[in-house]
Amino acid sequence: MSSEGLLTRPGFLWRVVEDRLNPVLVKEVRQALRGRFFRVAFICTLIAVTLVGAMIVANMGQTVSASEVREYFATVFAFLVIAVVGLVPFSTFTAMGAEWEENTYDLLTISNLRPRQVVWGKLLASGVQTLLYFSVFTPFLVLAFLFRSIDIQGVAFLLAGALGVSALASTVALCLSTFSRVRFVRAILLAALAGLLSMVVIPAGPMAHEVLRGPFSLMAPRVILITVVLTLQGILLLAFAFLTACNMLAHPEENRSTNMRLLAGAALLVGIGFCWWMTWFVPTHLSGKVNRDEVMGMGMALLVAISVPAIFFVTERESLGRRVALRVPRGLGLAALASPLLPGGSRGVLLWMVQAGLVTFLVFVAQTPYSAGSKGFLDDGMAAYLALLLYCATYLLLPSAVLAPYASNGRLRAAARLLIPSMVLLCAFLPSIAGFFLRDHKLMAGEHAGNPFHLLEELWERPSHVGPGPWLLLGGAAGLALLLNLRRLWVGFRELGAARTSRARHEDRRAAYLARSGDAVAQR
Amino acid sequence: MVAALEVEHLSKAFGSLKAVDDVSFSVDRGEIYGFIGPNGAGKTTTMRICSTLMLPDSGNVHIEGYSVLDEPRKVRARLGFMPDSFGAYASTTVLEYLDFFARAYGLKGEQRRRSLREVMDFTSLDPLAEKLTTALSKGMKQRLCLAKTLLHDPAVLILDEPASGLDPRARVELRELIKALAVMGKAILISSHILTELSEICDGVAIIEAGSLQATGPVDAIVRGIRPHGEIYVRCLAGNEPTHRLLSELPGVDRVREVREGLAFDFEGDHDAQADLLRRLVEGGLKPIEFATEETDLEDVFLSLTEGKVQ
Repeated sequence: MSSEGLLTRPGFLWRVVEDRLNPVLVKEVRQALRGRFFRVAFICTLIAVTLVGAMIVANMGQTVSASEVREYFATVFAFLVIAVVGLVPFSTFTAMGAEWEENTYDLLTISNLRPRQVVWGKLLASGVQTLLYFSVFTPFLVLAFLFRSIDIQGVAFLLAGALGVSALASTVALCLSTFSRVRFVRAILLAALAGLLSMVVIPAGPMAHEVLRGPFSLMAPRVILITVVLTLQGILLLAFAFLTACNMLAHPEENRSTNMRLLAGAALLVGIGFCWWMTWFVPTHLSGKVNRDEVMGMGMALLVAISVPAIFFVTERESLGRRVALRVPRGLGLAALASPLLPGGSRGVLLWMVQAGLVTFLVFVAQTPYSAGSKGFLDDGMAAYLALLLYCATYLLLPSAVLAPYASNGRLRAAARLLIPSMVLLCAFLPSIAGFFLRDHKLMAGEHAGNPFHLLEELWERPSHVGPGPWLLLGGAAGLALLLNLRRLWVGFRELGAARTSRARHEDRRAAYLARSGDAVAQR
Repeated sequence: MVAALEVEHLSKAFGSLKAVDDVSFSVDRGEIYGFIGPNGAGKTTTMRICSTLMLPDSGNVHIEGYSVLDEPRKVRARLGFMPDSFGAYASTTVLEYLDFFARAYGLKGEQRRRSLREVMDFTSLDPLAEKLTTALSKGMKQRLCLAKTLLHDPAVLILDEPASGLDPRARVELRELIKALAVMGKAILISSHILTELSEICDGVAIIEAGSLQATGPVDAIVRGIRPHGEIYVRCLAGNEPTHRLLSELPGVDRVREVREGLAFDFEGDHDAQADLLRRLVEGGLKPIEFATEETDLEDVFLSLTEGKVQ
């Protein structure tokens, strides 16, 4: 493959395209096509699918049955999934790792490429590889279709699914790859990725067989509902993985949080929109009726959904970062409004409080039309919702407030991020272990306020059976968490004020510098 | 007029270690500035801050008036940084490698092709255009990195140990390239351990040790600052003792000490005074067989300004 052509003037069409291409995409595709991994993987996959396909076709009788065609299609599809969900994400993971292994990442940074361009270029390159695999598999899939025993709808569903899952898997692989530059950690991450991908690749063949067998219609309301839910979750996961990868590549002093916070906000809006759609979809298509407890269930799901990304926001380094501080809005009101979206653990707490407040408000508004027939205010899941709110506040805010002074240390930050979800299990199981030594059967069985699974179930089923004890305990813990965070929030606000002052000082210094240097730069 | 590169009170600490402590200097267009110091002195940290790869704890760096703190992208567009260690992409030819970085710097169409041709010609990489970057020798890789650094025609070049690991011929070639770049009007900050080479090309130097700047300015001014007097070495057949006795009586002679087989001393006086001094030694019957003024080079300056402190 000669590269001499790079110095000669290309044709009109290529001239239009070439300058619009992402540089990383161009480099990655060149490297992949010349690299050993892609060539070997591509040829091996092609040989394997040809041999297996030929064997299945050879075993078919004079008249081809529908099950034989499905078997053939499912086998070819399984190979396609191995290629696009197994090999392509693996290649994406190693492509990012190579930047550190080959010591080229600093060169990328100073070449003025934005992290977004790097991530986007690498993903597009994996997309090109995926399309190459699809083009190779197309004749085999078309052959299956020509046997006329499989449904085009099912085929389209499976292929679109494979394409979507491939994009998601590549993005997650890239995201994982940005987590560490240490070879040992990267090996562990790769093993984790292999485990994740195998969970998708292994059932691909049987799943294709099931979809094509068609015991259910793809247009059935329940299937539509499940498809919509899975697609939305996939898109959100993809967006989070993409932004995480971009943020991991950005300079530590730059803003690595606002985009994630905006996405979390957008995800919440999508979630609210989805819940609203569900209240219309369920009665119309599933011949049912939305009840008050279903509204509560949706509210609880939203609460959990906002609390999971909040684990990262509330445990961020408290300070803004020098480059971020220079961009804090000058007006006090605007700075205060933007505060929940700016980096920093205290501002993460603020964001969670705003989001939780919004969800709670909407839950209260949405449950009102259904509350007329209810036995009491705390019935139909309302008690469970409020308890979950207190649990989330405790789990998120208590450890993050205690660990906030140490959040500038990356390892302690990571430990805090692991501690918060672990607290759910610790609070649930430690009293049970204590109960074993104290021979307290209730504790042993996990029937205590520390166990959210038990208490939420009780409050959902029999709210009147739960005494004031668990409420006092939960309320006290959440109150303590809020109290501990008050000082943190105040320090966060003061930092915003200081950033505004330092921005003004910096701008004065810059003006003085420009004046001193004869305004040469300004003129340019 | 604004300096091309201006470092102002730069400080950077890693935990309790002060890697760079209140460092200030500036480099003008067309000037080659040597940045010298022992290993771990803070050279690379300073250069990485200048290149926007790191942020200072305090202080600032301006590249053509743009701050590395608040305008890193504008700085990068005007800056070429050649790190001390860098990699080459596998399965990529020299031309593809340069083409990638040209695209990354935002060069488009004919401008990119022209820039590629110019830097390949300047660094003599033309014959290697189709060669894989991983197959290049160390010297050629250095050239490739320099070519990459020049693609977007930066006004300021920061070269971190560009000559390390090169054979003598490659070093001479690299030195010539750097001189040519300075003639083109580029401001060049270059660090190296090979001080004799730097002294040949540098207009000014900044000497750093344990994070602190020991001296900065034009080489001549620093030399004059350290040794306001000339230094003379003399060896006489009569031996060092009578020579020392006679020298001590002469005006303008100071700090007489034994060096190698003869004596070295500070001497305040011009060429006429030196000739007169030599005449006095001959007339004194000391039979001088060596008489030479000792040149003070960058190495001497470095040794007298640094104490070999390691952080």
